[in-house]
Amino acid sequence: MEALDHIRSRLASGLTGLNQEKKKGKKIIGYIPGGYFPEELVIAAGAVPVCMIRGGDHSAVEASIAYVDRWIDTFYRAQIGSCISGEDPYYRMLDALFVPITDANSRALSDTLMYHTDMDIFPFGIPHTKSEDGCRYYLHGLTKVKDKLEQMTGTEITGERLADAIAVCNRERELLREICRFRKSPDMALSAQDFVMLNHASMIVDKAEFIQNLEDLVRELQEIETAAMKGPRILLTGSTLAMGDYKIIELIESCGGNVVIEEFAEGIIPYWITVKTDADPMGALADAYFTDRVAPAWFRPGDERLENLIQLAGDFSVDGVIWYQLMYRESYKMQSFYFPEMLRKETGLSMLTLESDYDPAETGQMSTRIETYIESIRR
Amino acid sequence: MKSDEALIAGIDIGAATAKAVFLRGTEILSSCVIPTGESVKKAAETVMQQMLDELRLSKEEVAYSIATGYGRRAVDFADEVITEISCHGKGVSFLYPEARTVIDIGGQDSKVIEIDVTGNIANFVMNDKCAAGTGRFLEVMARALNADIGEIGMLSLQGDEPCQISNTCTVFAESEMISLRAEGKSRDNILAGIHSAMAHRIIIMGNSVGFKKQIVFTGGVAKNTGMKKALEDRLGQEILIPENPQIIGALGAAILAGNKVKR
Amino acid sequence: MAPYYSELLKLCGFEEEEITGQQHRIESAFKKLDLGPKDMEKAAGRVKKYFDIELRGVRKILGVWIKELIDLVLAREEGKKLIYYGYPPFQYTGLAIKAAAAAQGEFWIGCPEMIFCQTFGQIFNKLIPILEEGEAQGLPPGHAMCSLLQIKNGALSKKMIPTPDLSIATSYFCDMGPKADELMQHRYGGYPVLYVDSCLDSPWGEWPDFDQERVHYFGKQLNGLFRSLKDLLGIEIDNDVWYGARNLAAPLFMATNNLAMLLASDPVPLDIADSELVINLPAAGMGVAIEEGAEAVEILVEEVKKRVEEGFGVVPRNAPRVLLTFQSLVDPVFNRLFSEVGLAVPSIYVLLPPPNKPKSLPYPTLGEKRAEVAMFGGMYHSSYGLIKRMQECIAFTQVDGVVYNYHYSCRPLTCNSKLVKPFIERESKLPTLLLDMDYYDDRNYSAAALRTRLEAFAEMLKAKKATA
Repeated sequence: MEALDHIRSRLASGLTGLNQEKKKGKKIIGYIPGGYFPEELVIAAGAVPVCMIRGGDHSAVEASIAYVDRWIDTFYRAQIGSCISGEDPYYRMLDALFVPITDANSRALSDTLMYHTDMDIFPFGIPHTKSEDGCRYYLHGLTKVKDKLEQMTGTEITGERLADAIAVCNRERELLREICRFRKSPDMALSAQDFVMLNHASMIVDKAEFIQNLEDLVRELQEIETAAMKGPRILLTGSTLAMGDYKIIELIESCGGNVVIEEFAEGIIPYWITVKTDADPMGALADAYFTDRVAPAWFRPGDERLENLIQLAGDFSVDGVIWYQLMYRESYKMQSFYFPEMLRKETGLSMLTLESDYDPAETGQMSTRIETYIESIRR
Repeated sequence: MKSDEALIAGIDIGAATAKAVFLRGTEILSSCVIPTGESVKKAAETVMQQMLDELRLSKEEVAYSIATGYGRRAVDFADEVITEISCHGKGVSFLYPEARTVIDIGGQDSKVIEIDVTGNIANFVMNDKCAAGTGRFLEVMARALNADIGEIGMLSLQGDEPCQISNTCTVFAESEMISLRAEGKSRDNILAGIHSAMAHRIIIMGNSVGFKKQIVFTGGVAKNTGMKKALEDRLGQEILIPENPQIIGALGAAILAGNKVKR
Repeated sequence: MAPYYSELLKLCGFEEEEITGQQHRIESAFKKLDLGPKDMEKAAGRVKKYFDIELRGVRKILGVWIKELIDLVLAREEGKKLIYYGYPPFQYTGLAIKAAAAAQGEFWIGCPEMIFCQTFGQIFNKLIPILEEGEAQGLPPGHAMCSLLQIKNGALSKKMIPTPDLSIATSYFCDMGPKADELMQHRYGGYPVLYVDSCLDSPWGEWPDFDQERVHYFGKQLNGLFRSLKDLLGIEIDNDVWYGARNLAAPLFMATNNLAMLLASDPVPLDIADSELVINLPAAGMGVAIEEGAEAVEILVEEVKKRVEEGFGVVPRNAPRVLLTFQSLVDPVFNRLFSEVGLAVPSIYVLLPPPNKPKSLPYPTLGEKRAEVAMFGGMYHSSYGLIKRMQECIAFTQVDGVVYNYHYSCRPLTCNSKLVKPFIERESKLPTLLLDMDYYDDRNYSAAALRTRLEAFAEMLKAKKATA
């Protein structure tokens, strides 16, 4: 599909695009993924948001050994390694890095980078329990972020500018939802690799053009002739699905499985939320990003996520669930212990649990396990 | 007996080998290395007796002896026990007064030690639970490549296109290496990559202490010319290797024993 | 013939009449815990080998732990309600609950895994089956899962401890604790879990300052806890109850402070293997630990005072002094290493009292007042706060070096462990030894390997002192 090709090529030249913006004098604002940093604020400040979502490469993890203990989530170690090595072109171009403090992994990243680099690192806390007070604290964090961005860019983030940015991001999310719904069909509409690519693209490329491409894509999806999907339908879920960490989907597809829906805290943007436009924009951001959005596993309690997974399994008529997480993200590890029974009780479905430390040596074993699982659910 | 003629002994009981050094004053009389075998106690007695026999001396003539190494506390006859960290520092400083950093890689552990002008320890770091920075790592790789542990260093120097070994775990590095072999990569290049990866681990560990020159490399792995080069390449500095790098711990123990007699 | 547990209990300070008077309870508890004659014999040998049992205070404190264990195990069948809280606990919360709960009937309030550490760990050395069960039930090995939580999980799974009526999770400090509490809630009957949340989002370098909103949020979470206690169990906590609870604990805290002061003597008069038994008394249980614990520590204080007067030390005078992060809570072999290699440990980081509170905003609610105090302690503030507090402790105790032994599977400690050594060496100019270990599971390190590191560190410090 033409629109997809276009997006793919824009993503491939993402760095060039960002460099061009930087040359125009715009601030390049990096942020750590997880769905708790509203890009709206950056856009309203006239700056360019970049999600530091790249991962999958073991050398980045290795580069972190001297700076952080190995018992921290792989993705975060990869970020630490990439940043401190001084060689990563994305990190090098950032004017600041915003770090939503979610669990100890983001703390490790924030503290380690503040200690070892001169980068402008800005942590702000995300409460772990959904409550009014939690939302209020989150809003307080967003307000600090807003002040910081205004200071950095010299641009006031007015209600109007923010409302405009919210409209842009809402439209983007709306289009992603629409595209995602095509995947409910028994026909093969859009591959998982492509849909994940769209998510990653939304974190890096220029939004105006991206939204245009998404609209084109929707039209193309409405028009193309599709064939019936062969092979089992899979819900893929876990902690982080980084840009560059493609092996999991590649392996599933090479074994004849089709991922029809993904649920990840990091790497898949929370496109199911809509920021209200009839209220104070800052409050609306907080409500949408904190309260409305399905909480990740590290929330306490974390049942909302599991209930949502069961819902998604039904909505997308999946035949099986593959849980793919990175090492040492303990909140996910623990959920993966008791969720299979919940899933089986509610849906009769089984689940395969996989872990990765971004190690190339894992591929062989992972492939065997996926193949076996796909065979078992095929029957 | 004048103190500078005192006969003093240092015994280093490692997991693989037991070493002894006898000094008279500051003169090295002799040294020896034997396999430790199953009993550290027996190894200590054997290595001591071997030295006494060689030098035609009796136990009673030994004014003071210090035991070091993994099995140091099993050496009943030693007057004192001191860790191998302190002993390596003293041993290196004796041979190389300009030395300020010691890299010691043994079968079971590895250390980077910063020493001052007197050979006292200023700072040190040892490998964590992981075996990947130790002689064990090389043993496992050598075996998997059907190479002799004594030749892998030389073979690694012949590699013209060192492979990139990405794994930090001994177990996984072994399977990574086997895959490389299956891909047709040469043994020399794989070994070059292995040595480079290990040097990288050592340097990361040692960076918290620093690598001030002169840098001296001790321990069994110091005999590996490939490891010397891999470390030098990464550090961009020359590394000195004593003629007999295995006995440095025992030498240091003997020197510390001598200090006791002087007092 | 004396019962099979008689020798051990006497070694642990039980009086004869306590053994005979409580015979039924003791035997019932030991049966539930599968502690038989062989276990008692081994434990007796272990206690004699590793603890300073010539000190009556030490014997009494060992006994206090065993009494808490018995009370815990029998609580449900004795008609008590149970409230478990996580570790590290929030100071005084358990006590306040106890004080307020008094009117609601009998409660057992405490941290069961802590009690297991001190009994199954320190005394009986029989934690492995419990750890393995914890591993099998959702906290597997190879994933750096906190062994303290494995103990709690295993003990619940094996039904060695009752399921509680309420579980309070340490959502303000660690991520794993509350998630493990949620796991246990799922698996063991669905009892209510209360999460007391906070955000450790302070940027590096901020301590001792902090964002007031943190206090508001954390404070409201604590207030929420108090509200829930009222709704669920009819327990009412207000200012009066809180400060009344502080008074309840005052004798224990005073005695512990006195002990801490004496430990700073030269030569150090008590081994850390023994002082470890004291440190966690307030954290563990709100019954015997507070009441008899205070008495036991007072006895110990007098005995240690005598040692100081006589110049008796567990290491020689002028031995190099180190600040230690935390002892092993289960392994006296590790704890004894320090005196064996000639290192004096005048202070454990967590034992030092929090600093004097500077003037601050007049927060209106109890929860916010308590949350503010937490900010000053460092540990609940941020990693930077923790390290800066360590620096304050270093200056206060005038040590020659620092041993930062961290629990490898504790993410709050491990997330910045590689910053501690360079930071302290540069800022406090003190040699720092980083020891990677496990506070609650001695399978995860080798005491012999750690010994070599400690011994080398001791030699280094001694040589420094000699040339200074």
